[in-house]
Amino acid sequence: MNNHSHLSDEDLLRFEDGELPEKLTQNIEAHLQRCPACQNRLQQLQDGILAYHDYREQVLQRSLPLPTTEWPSLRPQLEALDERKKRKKFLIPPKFFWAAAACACALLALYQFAGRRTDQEQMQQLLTQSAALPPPPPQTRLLLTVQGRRWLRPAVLRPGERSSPVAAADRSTSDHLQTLFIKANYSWEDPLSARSFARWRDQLPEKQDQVTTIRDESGAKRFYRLQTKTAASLLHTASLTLRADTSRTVKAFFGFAGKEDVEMEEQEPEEKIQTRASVRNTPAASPKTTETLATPEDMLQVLAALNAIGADEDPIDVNFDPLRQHVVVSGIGLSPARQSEVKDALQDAPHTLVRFGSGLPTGTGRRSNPNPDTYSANTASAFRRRLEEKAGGASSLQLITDRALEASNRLFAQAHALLVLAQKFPPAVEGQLGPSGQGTLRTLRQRHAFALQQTTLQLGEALKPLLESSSATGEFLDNQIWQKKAVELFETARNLDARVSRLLTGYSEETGEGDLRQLPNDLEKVEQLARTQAGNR
Amino acid sequence: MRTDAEHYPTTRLQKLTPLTDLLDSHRSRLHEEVERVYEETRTAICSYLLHLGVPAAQAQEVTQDVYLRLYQTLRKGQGIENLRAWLFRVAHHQGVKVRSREKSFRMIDPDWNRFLQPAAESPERQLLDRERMKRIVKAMGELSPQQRNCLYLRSEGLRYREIAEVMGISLSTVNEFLRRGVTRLAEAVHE
Repeated sequence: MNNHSHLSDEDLLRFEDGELPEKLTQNIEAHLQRCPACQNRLQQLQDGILAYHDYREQVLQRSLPLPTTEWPSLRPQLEALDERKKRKKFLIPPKFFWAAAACACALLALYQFAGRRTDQEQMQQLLTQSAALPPPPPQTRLLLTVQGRRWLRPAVLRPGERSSPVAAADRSTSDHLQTLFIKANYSWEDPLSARSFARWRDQLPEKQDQVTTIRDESGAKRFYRLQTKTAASLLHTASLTLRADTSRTVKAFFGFAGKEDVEMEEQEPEEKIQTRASVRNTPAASPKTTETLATPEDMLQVLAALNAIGADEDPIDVNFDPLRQHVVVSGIGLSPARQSEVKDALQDAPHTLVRFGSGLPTGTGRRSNPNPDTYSANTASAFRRRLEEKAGGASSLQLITDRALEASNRLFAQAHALLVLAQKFPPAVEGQLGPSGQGTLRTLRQRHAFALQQTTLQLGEALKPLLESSSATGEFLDNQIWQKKAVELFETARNLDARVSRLLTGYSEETGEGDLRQLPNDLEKVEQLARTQAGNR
Repeated sequence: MRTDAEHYPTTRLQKLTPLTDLLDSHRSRLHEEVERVYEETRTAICSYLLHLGVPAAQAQEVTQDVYLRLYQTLRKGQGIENLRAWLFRVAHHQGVKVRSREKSFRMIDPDWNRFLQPAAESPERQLLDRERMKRIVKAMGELSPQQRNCLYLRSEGLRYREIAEVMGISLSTVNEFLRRGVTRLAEAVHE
């Protein structure tokens, strides 16, 4: 604290919260008695504290009500923990170890023998149950995956109907698969049904059955996987996955000897997808659930539209959906007004779905110190005093801090936007774009690069009073493709952001001087990398 | 006269019984102690988990896990200096884990206006209060999740050092987060 200047917000807040040492508290009390400006500022901060109190009471607590169910007693769980601990204490004495191991092996062998019989019986029972179900609705589709290629086909083909994927390569794979299924005597028309599986299985002279219980990722749904292996058929392995509650088949796997593996998964009928999309997504134009694929050009159009409204620095993700039918634009934590702007901007973008969840922004935790220093009031304040001297007082340092952190944050977001562009359009994808697509991509890249240059200058300008003159060498590799440079730029911007944050919020004696020396180099490097992006064709 | 062989088992039992009694009574006291802490503090911990974004359906279960961890720690004989900060720290870690698994975050109800109780004063006053709260909610939305967490834990009565421990950040960062949060709210109130 400087007796000749006003108290900083941080000191006032720590004073208000009783977080200052006694000596400093007395100094501040004395200062407050003779300084109306600081008294006034303290009052304003107290109003801020009161505002949070009101917010928590009136809005937060009522938005997040506590569970209404009665709190269960902990006692049974505590006792269970005790029991578990007791069991852990049970150890086999060394002299009985081999005998115990032999018993365990014998039991395992017995279990496997018995299990095989049980698997056969259980599989028979499950197949019978599933086969008794009515056929799936006509709109039900199957997602086929073969060697990384994916396409949709009807779950059940009518007589004479062909499974006809859009892409020519997929069509030929589909025809090839049909031949394989016919050779293996497995129904190509209705491959996901338990009836088809049972018919194929029943004709096998020798087979090994296995039934396993699995759960989905959330652990909420249970499934049975029925797998039959045989050496007597071209189709050496086939498995069906059934929902445990309905016995309905949802997935299948087919392994052909010497050929590619085939996976099939049931997709919800189109009506269901449409209905859910219309509830969750936002586009004004109704999304198309067709089999045409979204292209890199569609993705580029979305990114350009977001860039046009300055939303590419917002916490928004742009990805293809798993079927690559849509470019999905998702984000959380955006204000309703911003969401509406994004929706409007993407209204005409083809194959695009916009999905905003309500929620807090995820945040990357960038502001948190990755290596938290042990706080030392003496060293921190000594370094901070030196910074204050350079800045020309506590309030000037505060101003510099605010400006620098804001610029650094923006710089990081801009570097991230460029990185996203580099990741979405690696050289192979960029090469597939037409001339206009390549032009759009270049323009987008250059816009990011110019914005980065501008922000770097602003950050340098904000930090100028604290920094010595730059000693940057400016030696950077210039023979890399722009995508690689974008990664390097992002890493440098991230380090710079961490350094600025550490310098201006940590006030660490140990790292502070080093950070101060390194900052001009970082700034120079970001600026040069951004300049090469802007000029790079 | 009884031989050694006859009274040996009795002697062994006489020696062991007090020990098992002691262990049982220690365990029982520990159960009671953890149950007491659970009853006194579970609401605060559960509220914090909800604030972190843990889904309401899981909040109760995650809260219980915190106290089971407490029991396991105490049973091992490990000391806990500051119980309240310890509970929040474990809850923070558990909450962040669950939240990242769920990949979803919850925010305040967009229709938060309905929660505001009309004050007994004039309609003009009510309007002003509503406008004030609108600005506060907007300002809160502009803070980072960590800044919001710092404000929340501060309002729970935790000291700065405790907040730093709970969130795994440095004390100076807590200072800065709180300063930014309170300053932003002060601006919002005086807009």
